[in-house]
Amino acid sequence: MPSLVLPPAFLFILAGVLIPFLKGRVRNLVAVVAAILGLIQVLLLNSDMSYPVHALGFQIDLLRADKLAIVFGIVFTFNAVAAFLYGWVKNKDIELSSALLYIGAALGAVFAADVIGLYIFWELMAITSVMLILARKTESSMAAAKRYILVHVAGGLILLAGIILHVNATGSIEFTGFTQLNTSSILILIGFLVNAAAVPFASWLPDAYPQATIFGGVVLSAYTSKTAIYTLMRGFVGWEWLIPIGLVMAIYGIVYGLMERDIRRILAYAIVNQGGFMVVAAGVGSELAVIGGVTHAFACILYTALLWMTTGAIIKSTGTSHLNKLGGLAKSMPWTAAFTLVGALAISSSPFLSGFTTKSITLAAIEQAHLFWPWIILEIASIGTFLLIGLKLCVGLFLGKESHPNTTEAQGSKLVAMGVLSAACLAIGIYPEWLYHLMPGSQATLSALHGSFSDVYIHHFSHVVTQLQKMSVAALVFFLFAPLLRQKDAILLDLDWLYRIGAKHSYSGIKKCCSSINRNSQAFFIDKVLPNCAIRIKNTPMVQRPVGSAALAIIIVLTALLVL
Amino acid sequence: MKYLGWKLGWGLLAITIAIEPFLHRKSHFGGHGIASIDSMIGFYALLAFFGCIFLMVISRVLGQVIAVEEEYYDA
Repeated sequence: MPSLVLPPAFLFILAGVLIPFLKGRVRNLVAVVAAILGLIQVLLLNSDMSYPVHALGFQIDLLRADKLAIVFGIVFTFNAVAAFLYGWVKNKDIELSSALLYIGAALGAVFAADVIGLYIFWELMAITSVMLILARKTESSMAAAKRYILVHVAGGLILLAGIILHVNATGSIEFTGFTQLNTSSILILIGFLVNAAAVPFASWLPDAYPQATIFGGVVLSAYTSKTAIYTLMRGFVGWEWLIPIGLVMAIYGIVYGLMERDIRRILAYAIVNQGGFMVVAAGVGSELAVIGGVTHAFACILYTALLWMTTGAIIKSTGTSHLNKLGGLAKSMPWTAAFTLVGALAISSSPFLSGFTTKSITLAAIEQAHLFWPWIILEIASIGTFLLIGLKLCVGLFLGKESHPNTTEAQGSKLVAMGVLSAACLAIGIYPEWLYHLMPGSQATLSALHGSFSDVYIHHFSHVVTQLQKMSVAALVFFLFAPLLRQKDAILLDLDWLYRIGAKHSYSGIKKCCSSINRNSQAFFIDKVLPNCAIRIKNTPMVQRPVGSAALAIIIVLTALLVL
Repeated sequence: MKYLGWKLGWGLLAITIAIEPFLHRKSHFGGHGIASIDSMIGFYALLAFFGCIFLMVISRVLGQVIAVEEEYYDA
């Protein structure tokens, strides 16, 4: 008999609703406590628990605590604790409250057992997250927020259309793996891919996230895209289309990132790049690949949030996010520099950090599936991550001429939050066994993943050597060809051109076309034909007036209209 | 500092290539021809070299095409 337990989402949503009624530091305290309680609750969940609700004529289950959901729940709540510690200095209601609601919605989507619950939380996520961008209150952030919500509403509607078709066709609302290729599954897949920032829908992420507030960026970086990765891992495992999509994402993130100057936008492109590995993992679909994708998502959330925290602290201290205007910050912000280095080396899968022990599982799964060229492309994308974050970003920020000699180090609570996430990156990198044991998968596959320190760094020493070899060559190429990366300040065109400029053009085109039809038809019928007719009718003698034929003509015209 | 990075890069590269022959790495794909190339000594150095050049050149070339002035969307 399943036991009734409230889903962890409710705790966050309750706290989020409560925040506006509180004052001062109590609000921060409530947020941190809610996150810690949420983490504890997720750790205590087991698969016997459920929370059925009757709504819309269906029995909706809001709590399905299987291993896949619990892993995402753990990392979501853990990251929330760190994020709210980071936001300790923030006193804006709207940010704390919408962050809590947003994280609650993400948890709700992950634990929902059926497509209806998933869809409701999916939309709640879009609405609450847009507040974190609006809270910046600059003109460009308002515009970015508008585009962000439009993209997500469009994606959500595509998802809803798919869900309606799916429920109509199968009669089942349960959210499990989709096996058949039909309109409904394609629509649902597109809905998921929009949120996963998959190419060609990727441009919303680097457009919107860098416009968020400092705290908002930290929170946003983790949830929307990783919730979408979760839905792909549950619904579309083994769909081979996802492999090319993921490969394009992985390369796209690096190529665009290398052209970019804004430090948080570089990180946004890195999120797309990392997501590419997970989408490929979902596409490969073997048990090992799923474990690889999920461990990578787990690690990725932590080091991405860490990097958003450190860059946020830099923007807060120096007042600029422009990479060319920053430099030599290692002197004035040593702690921030050290934590950035941890995050950057983790995302570059350097040994002893989390990327090394998680991304390698995805790559091993691709090797097992004998996908040679996808493997080569992902290896290149993986080196590219080091080139982009480890070298371009870190060297640009911390080495060279000091740009802001008088900046101060980030506040204590921010450093604590960065420290917590850095420790997590190290813990996964040095002793990943605990993480491997959380993963969904059969006992045989899990025990084949050797995760103790000696397994990873002594028995598989060759991986350490080849990884260091790749990184050393990347560093040499970077220093040798650095001039290649110099570019003017510019906006990078992307597919968002279609709705930022293309829509405007097509609207004005349609407008021009319609109004010219209007004008010309008026000139022809009203100004020419009608007066002519009137004069003729007027000049005809009364007796000869062909009433019958006029009536006939009208009847013919009306019938023609009707037929048309 | 860049000089240090430069020395560190060459040093690490030299050490890792020197160690490689003793590791007896096998190809992950076990195939013949191109698919067994990853067992070659220095394969990862070459991959990283051409990979990085490829990414930098692509982004440079694409940058000439898609980079527009910052007021592009404001008009």
